[in-house]
Amino acid sequence: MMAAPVESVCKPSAERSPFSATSFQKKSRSKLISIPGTRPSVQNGQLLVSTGVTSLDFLLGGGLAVGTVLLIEEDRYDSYSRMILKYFLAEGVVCRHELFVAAAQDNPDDILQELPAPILDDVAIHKPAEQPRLPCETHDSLDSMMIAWRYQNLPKVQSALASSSRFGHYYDVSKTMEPEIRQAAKCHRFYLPEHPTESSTTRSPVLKSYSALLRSLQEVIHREGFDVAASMAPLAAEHRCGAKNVLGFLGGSHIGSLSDRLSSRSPPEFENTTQDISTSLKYFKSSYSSISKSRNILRIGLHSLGSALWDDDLSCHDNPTHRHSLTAFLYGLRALLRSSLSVAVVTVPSHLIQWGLLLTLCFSVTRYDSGL
Amino acid sequence: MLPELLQGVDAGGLLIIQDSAGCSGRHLLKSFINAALNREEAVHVIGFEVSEEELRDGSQGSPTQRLHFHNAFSDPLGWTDHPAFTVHQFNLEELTHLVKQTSHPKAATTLVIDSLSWILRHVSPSAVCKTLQQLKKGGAVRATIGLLHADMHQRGTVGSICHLATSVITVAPGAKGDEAVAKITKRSKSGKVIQEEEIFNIKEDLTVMVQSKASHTGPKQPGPEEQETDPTANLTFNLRLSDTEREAKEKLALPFVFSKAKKTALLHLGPGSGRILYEPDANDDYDQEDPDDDLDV
Amino acid sequence: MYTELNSILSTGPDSFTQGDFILVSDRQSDASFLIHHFLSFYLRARCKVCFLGLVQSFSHYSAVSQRLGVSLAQAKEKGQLVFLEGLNESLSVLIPQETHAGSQDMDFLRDPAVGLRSLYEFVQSSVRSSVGVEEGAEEWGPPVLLVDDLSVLLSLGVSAGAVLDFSHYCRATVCSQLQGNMVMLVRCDGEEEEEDGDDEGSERLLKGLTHQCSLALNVQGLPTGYCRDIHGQVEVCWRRRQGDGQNAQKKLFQYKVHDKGASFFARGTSSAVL
Repeated sequence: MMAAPVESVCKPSAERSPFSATSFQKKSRSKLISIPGTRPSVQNGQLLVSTGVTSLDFLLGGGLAVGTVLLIEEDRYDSYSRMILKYFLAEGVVCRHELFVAAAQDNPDDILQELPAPILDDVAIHKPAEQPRLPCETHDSLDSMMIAWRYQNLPKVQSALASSSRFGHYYDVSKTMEPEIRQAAKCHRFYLPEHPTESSTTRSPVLKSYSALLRSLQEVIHREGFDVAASMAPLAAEHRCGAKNVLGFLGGSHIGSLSDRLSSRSPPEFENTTQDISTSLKYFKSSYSSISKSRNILRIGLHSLGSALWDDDLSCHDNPTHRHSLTAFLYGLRALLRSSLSVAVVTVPSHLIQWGLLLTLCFSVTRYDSGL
Repeated sequence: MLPELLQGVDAGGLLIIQDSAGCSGRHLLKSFINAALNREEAVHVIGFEVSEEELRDGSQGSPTQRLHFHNAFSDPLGWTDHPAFTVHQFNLEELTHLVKQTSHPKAATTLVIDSLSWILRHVSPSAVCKTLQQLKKGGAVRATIGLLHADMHQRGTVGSICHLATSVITVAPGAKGDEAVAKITKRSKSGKVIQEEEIFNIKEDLTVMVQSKASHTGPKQPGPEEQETDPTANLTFNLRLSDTEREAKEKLALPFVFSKAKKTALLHLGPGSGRILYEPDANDDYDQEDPDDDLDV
Repeated sequence: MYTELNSILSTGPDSFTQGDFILVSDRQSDASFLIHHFLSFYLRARCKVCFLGLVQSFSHYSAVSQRLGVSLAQAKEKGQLVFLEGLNESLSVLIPQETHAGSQDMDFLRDPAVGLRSLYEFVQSSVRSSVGVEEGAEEWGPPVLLVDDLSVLLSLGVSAGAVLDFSHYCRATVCSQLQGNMVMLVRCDGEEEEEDGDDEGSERLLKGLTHQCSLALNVQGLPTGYCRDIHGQVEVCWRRRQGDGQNAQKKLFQYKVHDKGASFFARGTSSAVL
């Protein structure tokens, strides 16, 4: 909604690398803290993260907004939806975000082991002092070049992941991500069979499995410091009506099947503008100085919610007893996301859910009119 | 037929006014109340949907002391401590009790229910039908008039209620602004069914003016109050013509003008065959000679 | 607030009709920009506002209102605005704690069959407290209830009938008794369809609310699809007006939402076209 106020846009990388090709520094109006792997939207200044699939980022208007949930209807054999989930998590690893993976069917560790390998070439070397969490690169003396000596001091091709300041990366699906890269990222797991449902006297409208998941999420968000205090504005609102963009995968067809439902740009909706990035990140700066911990994004990946393994009979019966359990969970998830620096991708086996129920589920479905 | 109905529903009659979101039947309901009051009947209104002020609004002139409004608007479900009338009190005993309390025993009473849709949301349709049937048969009220929002219920529910009724008036928006179309079905005691369609509008004093029988032809006319905004206003360039400009425009000779002969020839087609009319332009080189004559073949 | 909309509705912060129930609805579109309009309108008109924000966080509404020139935080401090942040309150219900926590307002999350009585009681208490003037407190105008939005209640399991009862009671209290105003947003997903067997549908809720309201604003996208300069159309429907006939008077406008407001214009007269 703001026609990207140029002054407040900062470069995604705040590091001042001595190897940068130019010494030009953009003068920002206010001192901003940027979180690696994010960038402000050009349409309305919302903070965006990449889903890992650059064309999907494009369809979403630049990226996935922090504080929102992307809901993906699974294809019949859960191949493409699972792939998107893995891309999303892999992107988190590459950007040094924290991950939270929840599943009822497969162990989250297995999902994490299947992440695609990133294709890294022009990743810049960073000074260890600026990024204390980076693995320290011990350099031998640089190979001095004989002929192309002018390029001696430019960044070299890195095979190990330092930190990527780019937005959106490419992956090689034929290889899995190397364990060192993966283990460098902090991952939180929630595997439903490990959480026996305690019998408690307090009644909850959501299933015990979902409330356990919500509780776990809430704990992680609070413990790791992702929550945003009430006085600070969360950076994101929804596209249009709600948190969820629904992407349907029809039996193996790819994202192109959505093209009649998604236009390339959503109209700059009034309610997308929550806050000027500069003012909101100013608050972060004040908290930054007090905590002395840089802010980061929590990427939440929830696999196959609504399936029978989550104790939900939404996909089993035409008239389930817990009709609204999943929507109540999504409502709670939205509440958690709104007040924290996190972003979620949820997959739902919608092909098993009766259509009428699905409509009540997607109470905040984003529909883009195709502009033809 | 509308005026006849207004003059008095037969004893033991049930009149249902059906409306929809596009056209409210409440004005017609108010007219019926008015007509009953003018007939010196006692009218008991059980108001769920609108408040007393809103219902009385417009009927200031008529004698209103015989209009008894039972407030089911402020607390129909008993959420406060002292509900005046709840939806669960809609049954024969309570209603008879209510009516007998406030009415002169000899006066004819008409019971008006605003609206049946509200009751149907909380009480099962069969119970409501039973109560209505008992009201028809029992002697407590002479006639019952109910308002029903047909688009709020399933077809079967609406059908069941209307099945009990002696007359049904369905109100729909009319072609013009304040007019409405009433489809009337009346069942007389002898079993004869009359159906009619009339266009009517309601005046300020709640009297009903029937315009005519509805005709099924004619497209919907736009409302007279729709003002066309002038698109040539508020522009940065001028789209209007002054008088001199208009004159000059009309005087302008158009570049391709047929001569009179050609025009008449084109207007009156010749007998059958086509003709070629050629008028040499200024730039044409009209040479009668055949250029092929130069060829030495 | 949007000045063009004010002139269409013939209202202003200094002169508006009281006792109105304004229904804002959308179909495959997003009408929440109208909620922001009414929020800033009634705050500017110095009314006591009770806002049930069930779908977004307080900071979201605050940020948007800032662009419209109204500070929600200030209004809250002065006591002019009572804000129910549904998302926050819901967490204490959805994640059951051992110690009993959380207010009663979101009780319908605990058991949707119970209905919205406790939510109504919250509305009643916050709206009636304006009647008694405390010492030194500012005097505010008539109370106003804003709800964003009612359809989320449907998806959380509350039946359409319960929502209709809730809106009936709110209307009886806020509009009739206290002569205040009420603005509610309801959202519909698909095309208008015959829902013969579906009692829970949002269509039924919309129809029921339309019968109750005095002014309806229906927002839809353009029938021809996405357009960069015209974001959609608004149908304004006056259902109850003094002296008018029984028919609802309807007018259609197109609108465009931009940075600090929205502009409304007659069909075909968008500034991008002319």
